[in-house]
Amino acid sequence: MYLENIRLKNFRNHADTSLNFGTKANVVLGGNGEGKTNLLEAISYISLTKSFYASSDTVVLKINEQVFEIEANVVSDGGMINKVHIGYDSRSGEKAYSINKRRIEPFSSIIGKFPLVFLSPENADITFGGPTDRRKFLDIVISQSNISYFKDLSEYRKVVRHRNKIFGDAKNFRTDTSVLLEPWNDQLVKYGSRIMFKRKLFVNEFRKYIEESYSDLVDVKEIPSIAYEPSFEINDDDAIERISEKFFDIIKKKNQEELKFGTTLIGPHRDEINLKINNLDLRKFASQGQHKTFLIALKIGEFFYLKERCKETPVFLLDDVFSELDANRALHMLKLIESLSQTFITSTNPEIFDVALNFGDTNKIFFVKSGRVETTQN
Amino acid sequence: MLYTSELLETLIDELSRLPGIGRKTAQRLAMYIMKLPREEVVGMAKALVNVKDKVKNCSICSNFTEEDPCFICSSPKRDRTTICVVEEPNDVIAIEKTNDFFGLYHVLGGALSPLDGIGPEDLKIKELLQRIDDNTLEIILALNPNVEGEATTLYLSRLLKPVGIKLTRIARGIPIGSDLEFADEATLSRAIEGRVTI
Ligand SMILES: Nc1ncnc2c1ncn2[C@@H]1O[C@H](COP(=O)(O)OP(=O)(O)O)[C@@H](O)[C@H]1O
Ligand SMILES: [Mg+2]
Ligand SMILES: [Zn+2]
Repeated sequence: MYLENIRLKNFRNHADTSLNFGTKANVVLGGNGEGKTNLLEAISYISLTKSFYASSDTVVLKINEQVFEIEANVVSDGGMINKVHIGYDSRSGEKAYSINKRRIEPFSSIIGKFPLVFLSPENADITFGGPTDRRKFLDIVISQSNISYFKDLSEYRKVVRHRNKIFGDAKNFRTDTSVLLEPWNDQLVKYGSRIMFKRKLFVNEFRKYIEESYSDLVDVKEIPSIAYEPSFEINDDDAIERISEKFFDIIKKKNQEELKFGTTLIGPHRDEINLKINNLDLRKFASQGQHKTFLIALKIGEFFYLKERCKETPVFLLDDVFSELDANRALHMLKLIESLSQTFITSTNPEIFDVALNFGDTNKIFFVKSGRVETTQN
Repeated sequence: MLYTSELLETLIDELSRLPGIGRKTAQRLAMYIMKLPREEVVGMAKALVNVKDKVKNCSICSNFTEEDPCFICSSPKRDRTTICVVEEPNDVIAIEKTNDFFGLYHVLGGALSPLDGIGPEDLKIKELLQRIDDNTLEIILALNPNVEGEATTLYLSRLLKPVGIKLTRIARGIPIGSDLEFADEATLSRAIEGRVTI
């Protein structure tokens, strides 16, 4: 897919912005706080119906305005033009998403139709941060390629919260929880097992994507790996039913402990995903450069994985990543990504782009200042 | 903002206590009411008081009613062997509209939700157990397709299994009029999960 154009009305600091995009690299330049990331955020609404920063719709509405709109022509790999319209009205709190004037409901049914890969400096948390950051990465990729995973995940989170409340109440009021817990245990296991099964499957498939993209990025012989480490042991060939059995067994065993701590101790919300280079734990042993390469390899792997799974080429969003990279790595990556798909790149520094890219119809350059965007004449 | 009239201010206060109504909306509603003809406002006020005075819960099924027992519970035409368990009175209306169900209802008054502090004792579960007698042949659980509804279904089925009557739940699946190919994966997988023998 690619975006032919976009129009933003009252989105963040963009009062009224209309742009025609190039089919490959779109470089968005401007100083800090001018509205570059805001533009990428609007693109994430088209793919995910919301911001990748998980802020609410009211937050992205331009201050002192009541309605924001995003309009875009999204051209699918098959050449179909999807006229996407998103509108949010703060007075009613209503948000509507439509394609070719047809309302899309529920929103989740759009996920994966216009796949997107997003890379920003905050993503460094995937390799540097805690397990939560890695689970989040996994969840976004799997959700885009499998809607029912996304639903299972949101149901699972609700179940965990309800269940934790029962434990909390038990601690405070010393009530007998066994009967109350049963319906929530059933659902914890039901959704949890499906999530674990899909994560296991994903990690096993994703491994080769990372290996390939990593070897494209470095000349040295380093072997990256990814491993799924769930909160209790399962085998590679366990079906969902087998995982459920094990899950039931373990919550029975952990019941006293869960009561004592007043929280759900077992399940996919406690999973870890281990990243390694040459069998050495990334977090403990890798250099800064290896971290960066690994992250980019994850993202390029995500790109190819989604492309295959969604049967649609994702768009690539790179927010401020080029100022972080040394010139060589930046140049290499720019060439690689530009060949893959439509890319949106923000930067405060115009220099490397003039060297790396020919600007014209397919590659375009935009200048953002206080929410206004100017295009250079071709 | 503070209005010059204390009475108007009181109305806005009262309106904004309603669920889903914020201060701003309450102000708009109050302005709207101000502009209505007097008869219409009196009609509205009467409707509010009447509901409060005359509508109560049926002592058998807990549905809203003016007569006790309600017209469904007291109708000789209804099939007394089947009880359909729902969360709210609205659900009764929805099922009644289908004209396909002729049994009795039981309104729980919500679903299990620990986060909202709703436990079994906050729902009309005791009343349901007391209603079941030799005439009862089937209980249909028709609760919402969310984790709270599901928890309630699971809780009730554990409770009712030992009673030994037929226990069913409504199927979840593809909405009529929508193509299979446009159904999202999760709806489809639920529909497959709830498949029936033919
Ligand atoms: N809801 C909003 N309404 C108006 N302006 C906003 C809103 N949210 C953020 N901004 C403004 O947007 C600017 C930040 O834009 P951003 O795209 O993050 O900048 P950058 O170009 O550095 O990526 C800030 O000036 C901020 O004040
Ligand atoms: Mg930015
Ligand atoms: Zn009744």
